[in-house]
Amino acid sequence: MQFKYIDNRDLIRWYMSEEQELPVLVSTEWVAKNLNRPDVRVVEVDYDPQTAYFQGHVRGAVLWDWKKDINDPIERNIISKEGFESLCSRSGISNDTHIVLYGDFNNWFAAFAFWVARLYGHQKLSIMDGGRKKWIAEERELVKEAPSPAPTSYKVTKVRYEYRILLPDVRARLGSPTVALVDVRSPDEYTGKILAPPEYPTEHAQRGGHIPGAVNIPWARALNEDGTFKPIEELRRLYQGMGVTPDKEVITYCRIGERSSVTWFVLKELLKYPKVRNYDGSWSEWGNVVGTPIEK
Amino acid sequence: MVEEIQACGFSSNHLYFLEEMLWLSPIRDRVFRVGILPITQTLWGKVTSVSVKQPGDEVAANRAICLIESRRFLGNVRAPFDLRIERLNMEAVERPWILQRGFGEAAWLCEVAALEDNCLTRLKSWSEIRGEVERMISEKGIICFREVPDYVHAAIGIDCSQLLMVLSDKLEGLPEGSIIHIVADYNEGAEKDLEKWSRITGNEVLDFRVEKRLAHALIRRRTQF
Repeated sequence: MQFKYIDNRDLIRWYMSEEQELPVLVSTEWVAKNLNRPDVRVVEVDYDPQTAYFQGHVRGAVLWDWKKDINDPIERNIISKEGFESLCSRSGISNDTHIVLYGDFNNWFAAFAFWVARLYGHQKLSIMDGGRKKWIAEERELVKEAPSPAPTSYKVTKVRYEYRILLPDVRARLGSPTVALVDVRSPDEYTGKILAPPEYPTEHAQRGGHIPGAVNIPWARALNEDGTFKPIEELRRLYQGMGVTPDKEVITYCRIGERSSVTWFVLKELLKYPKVRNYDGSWSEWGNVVGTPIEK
Repeated sequence: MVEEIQACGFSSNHLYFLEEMLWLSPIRDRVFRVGILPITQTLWGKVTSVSVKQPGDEVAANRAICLIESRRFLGNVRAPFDLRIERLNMEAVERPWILQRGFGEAAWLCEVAALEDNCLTRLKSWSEIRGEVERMISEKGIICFREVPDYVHAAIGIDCSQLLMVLSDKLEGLPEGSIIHIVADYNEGAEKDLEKWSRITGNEVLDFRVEKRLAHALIRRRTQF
């Protein structure tokens, strides 16, 4: 697949190729021009829809509420295969629909939804670069009316379990020279100085620190001030400079797996690393489970 | 003269553009100093960043002067009339939460020059908006503090004997100097209990108020005392 790549004022821009294959990153401008296409479904993924989607969203965008729609309603887990099928069906998404995701909190939860959709094998998938923040900063149109898409019969045909990793498998890889663990939280969370991220200060774990052997590359280092992703070469230097190289199996984690989805997206989708897995149990699991080893 | 409602200050010398939560203070002919109303403390949460247009930029009415990001808000603040940005308050750009404290020397965002003769038509005086502001404060449970809290924690329904334990637990994960606004059911003796707890733990009680049978305490985390 060949992408057209234009580096404009140090901001990376991916556009549709002449072959109309799909980039994983689309600009706000692209979304503004293409949001009415019947084969495109724009989805806003929010942690807090009350302060985001319901205050105004991209015309035609459906809402995926991260807590209610992307996660299992009972147990702590991502949505099931059947749940994802139901979510896509009621969102008017078919197996060949091009889903464009964006959202609040610098696209954290849009990246999480991207990861889940990839895990359930959806092919035509993009993130709107810069997310909700950039759309608003550019004073683009926001509407309050929610669309009522015609339901579809979405079917998951392949589950990519290799994109996810669970605690026992992380534990089994500790100390392996072929594995790179990337802790994308803030330095103060990594060192255990604080027990919760500033965004969720009261949701702290029992213990602070990081998984032994993990390097600290905060998610935000992959982004520009305006929330867009940095140029590819800069991203490559950032991760390879910290020993996170494509020859390794890379595991990303944060607190609940949403910030690490951003880094998973960078490594897997932008830098095309072959083996990248998101540990969505993350610190809220590792830092609370009895007997897990911790480094500070 | 500044009038306070639930400790949110409103100057009778200022003009207001309530739709965008702005106050404007005339400083010379058709030039205004612009700031953000302190009621945004409750409505938006603590403002964490502001991206404002640059001096010399002209902004049409209803277009963005700045992009505000806070704990619960991300949006543009729009111009009440055609204007030109004259000057920025860099202290407020760097520490934007000071905008929400009120009308002090530091609490303005920018100075703007009106580019239209009828610039005052969309602005209102304090007496014109007073009733609307009172309604808003009452309906939305707005409360202002001298220091803008970093976080709000609702502990309503928690037994008073457990409250201080919950508070200690919540503070444990916060960085030194963080300010938390805790809301709990009021009971007699709560303020004294809090003072005692403060002396023992070193955490600082900045404010304590009772509104509609709810206690509001503003506490600064201190680990060294």
